[in-house]
Amino acid sequence: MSLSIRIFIWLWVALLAVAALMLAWPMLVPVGPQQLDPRLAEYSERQVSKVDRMLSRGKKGKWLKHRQVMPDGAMLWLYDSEQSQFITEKIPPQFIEQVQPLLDLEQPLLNKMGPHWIVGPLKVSYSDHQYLVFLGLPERISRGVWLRNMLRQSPLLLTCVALLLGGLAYLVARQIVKPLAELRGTANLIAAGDFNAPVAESVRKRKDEIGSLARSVSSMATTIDDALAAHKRLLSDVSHELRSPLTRLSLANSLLVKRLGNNNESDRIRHESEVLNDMIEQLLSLSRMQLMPEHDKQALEFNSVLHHCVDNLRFTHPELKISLTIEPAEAAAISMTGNGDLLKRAIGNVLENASRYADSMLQIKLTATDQQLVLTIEDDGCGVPEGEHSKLFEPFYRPEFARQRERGGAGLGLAIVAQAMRFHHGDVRAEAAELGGLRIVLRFPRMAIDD
Amino acid sequence: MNRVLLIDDDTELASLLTELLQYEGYQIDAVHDGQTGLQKGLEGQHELILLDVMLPQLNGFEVLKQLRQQSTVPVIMLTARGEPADRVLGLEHGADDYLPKPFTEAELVARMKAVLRRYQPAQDLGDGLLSAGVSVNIAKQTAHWQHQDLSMTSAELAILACLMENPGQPVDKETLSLRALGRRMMPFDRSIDMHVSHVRKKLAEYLDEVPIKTLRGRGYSWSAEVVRSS
Repeated sequence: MSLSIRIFIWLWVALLAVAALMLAWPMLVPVGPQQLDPRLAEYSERQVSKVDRMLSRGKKGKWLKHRQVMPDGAMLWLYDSEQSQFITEKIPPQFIEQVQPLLDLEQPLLNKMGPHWIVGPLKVSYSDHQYLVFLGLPERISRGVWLRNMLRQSPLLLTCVALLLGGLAYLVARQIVKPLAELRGTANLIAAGDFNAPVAESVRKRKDEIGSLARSVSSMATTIDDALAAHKRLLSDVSHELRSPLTRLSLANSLLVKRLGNNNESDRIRHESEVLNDMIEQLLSLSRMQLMPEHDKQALEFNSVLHHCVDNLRFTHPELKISLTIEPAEAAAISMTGNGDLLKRAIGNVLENASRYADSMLQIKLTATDQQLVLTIEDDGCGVPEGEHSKLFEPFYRPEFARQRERGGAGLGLAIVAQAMRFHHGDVRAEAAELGGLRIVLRFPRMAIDD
Repeated sequence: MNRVLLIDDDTELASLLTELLQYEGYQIDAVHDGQTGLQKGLEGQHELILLDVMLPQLNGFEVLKQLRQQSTVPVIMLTARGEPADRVLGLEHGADDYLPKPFTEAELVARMKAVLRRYQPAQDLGDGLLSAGVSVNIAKQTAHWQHQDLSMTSAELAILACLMENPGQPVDKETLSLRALGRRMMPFDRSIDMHVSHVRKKLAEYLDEVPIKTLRGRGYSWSAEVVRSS
């Protein structure tokens, strides 16, 4: 059944139930005589004093026989205690019957008789004559009395009814929220990159709007998954196709050198082949990272990864002074969850860049707190103008001076770093270094943000 | 002249390599599909095999697997770069080393030399190492348990000898790579782990407890007494 119809029905049922309950209440809950609360007592006194005034003005006889209606709608019945009968005429017999037990009361009580709330007996005396007044409460006060009465008389029943209705309302809400929450969970998984995350069977099979939404989400995920798979296949095919001619190019060049001896042009060819090679590898690696966010993450020791990269650097650049500080110094193993390969590539790329532009030294610092790891790498080279700091991480971006020199790479290294940091839910930024060159700051949160 | 078998379906590459490697003193026999490659490999007439992964008829891994059932000839696999699965698979099946495409002639020759070169001990310790029933003769490139031949490949033998030369001391993976494979470790490189794993497996056939310990972050060590013989 459609969800909107279901909600509509529930609302109607609840409304009707409450209305029916209110109407049936008087029949359900017996009302016995009650004490007057102070306000009611005060009101009664006022009405009685009005009667008193009227009597003292000399209204007698006929006036007394009529059922009196006060300006505010209250009604009066007068009873002559000495003659033991009602003066007011045309009183319904069941009223007289119900009033009997009250006649002897010393204190007035509140009682429900038929449709009226009656307060009585109230004593009035006039010229040595004892009268009893029964006051029928006007509409306005009746309602208030009715409500207070309901609350006071049977709070337990009221609570039960409230709980019951509340319970039913909760069930209805749950019926809607539960499948939506499940769907949201699946959508989150998909958003995080798991395009195979299944939508729960029970949600998918529903015949209402939520079921239809679930089916749409499911087919959306499949479409993305298929598109990605096709893209990956294309990437892999293209890369494979490119590798063979590149290899042959390199080998043919080597053969040329063997035959003609070393020459500038062959050197150039070799260099450009390496640049091509490099670019292709970086491009592939960047796209792979962007397309396959479901790289697995494992627990790993960050400091061993860092040491590996730094040792590599020391080997390839023995001419540079490379200093490495780790805080806290006594930490034997700094653990975190991540992808070791991506980390090595990211750190490696930053170190590679730094070593390319450094004059003589590199400073590497790792600071570990419970919440995060901060890795800072700075060099003493010529640095990068401040305006270009954020652009450094765009693919293929190279600062002006790099373009003119041989030392520049393809411009993808830092883009890969940025992507790797994104994968680890961290971030990277560039700043001016105290040493004079560029400082790169990598920040990793320690807690794994798991799906 | 060293005879080398090249199994690769890229005929142009094969002809380029054949010419190039001649300058380095290698004689290349080139075949272009897996089946023929396996046949030729089993003939035992080559000192080294260069094996491509993507081959018609029988793919590179299959060739390697079947070859290894009968031969310990050194094999270098030519794999596609960036496919870690390929690299690990090759090593798992028993390749001595791998070279991702695209490669330069210099890299290829360096790998070939490293694999072909007899393992050189660090000091002149005589020919033989003996420990826990395992005897290794470096000059003859053999490894036995009592009298059973352990059929180790040259890389596995080199690693075993390197560990046995330093009993009780950790030997880090970088050293093992340099001494046994003749090259530094590359990023994502699991070749040393693979070779150690193969050595363990082969020793486990005869020894209840294989005296190779893994020291996380520090490498491997040989944990039994070693006697040197000359």
